[in-house]
Amino acid sequence: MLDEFHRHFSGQPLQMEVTAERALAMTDASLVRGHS
Amino acid sequence: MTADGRRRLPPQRRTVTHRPDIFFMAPPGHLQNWFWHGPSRQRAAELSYEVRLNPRDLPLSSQDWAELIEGVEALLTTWGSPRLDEAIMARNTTLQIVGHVGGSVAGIASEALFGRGIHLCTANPIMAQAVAEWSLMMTLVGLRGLVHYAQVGASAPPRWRPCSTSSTATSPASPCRWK
Repeated sequence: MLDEFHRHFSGQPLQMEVTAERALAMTDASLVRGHS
Repeated sequence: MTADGRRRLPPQRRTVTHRPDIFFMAPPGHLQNWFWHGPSRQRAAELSYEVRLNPRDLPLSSQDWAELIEGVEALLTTWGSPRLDEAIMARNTTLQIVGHVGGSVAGIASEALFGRGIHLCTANPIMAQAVAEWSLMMTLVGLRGLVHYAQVGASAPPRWRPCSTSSTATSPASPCRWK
């Protein structure tokens, strides 16, 4: 993930970014495991 | 390889245009140590990055988190990190990117985060390969009855159940396995 930060702060395209739609469609592990 | 037979290492990238304020939200202890160890520290050093580690145990209130991430430009989250909502980002005007050290980001994403134009990244592309390898390995371990096979030679040897490769109306195909 540090390399992703490096890409961002040096103006290069990100490789692991997710959209809002994709992010919110992922499994919420906190609900599955009962974490707060 | 070099002329004397040593493996040639790739050149290290040292082109750093900015040293962001990076904060890792994992609490002190196992999880923080699990991710923040040799390779991570080495890569941070290569990039001339300093990563501030969360010094406080969980649980923390939204106000506590807000104080911790004030001034942060890049945030590392992981399992157990809080949802990054308005309350937690109340004192932060500098955050540009969030890197989730884990797969799903559903637990940390919020409309407030995307509303501020903050980039959100997941380690899914990297972790997916390990998950696929693990799944294949466990499939073969189960299919070949490795756990039982490893007991061959023990005081009570397992019995082999022959398999059938064709099924009938009353007898479906069954895998070979130890029982």
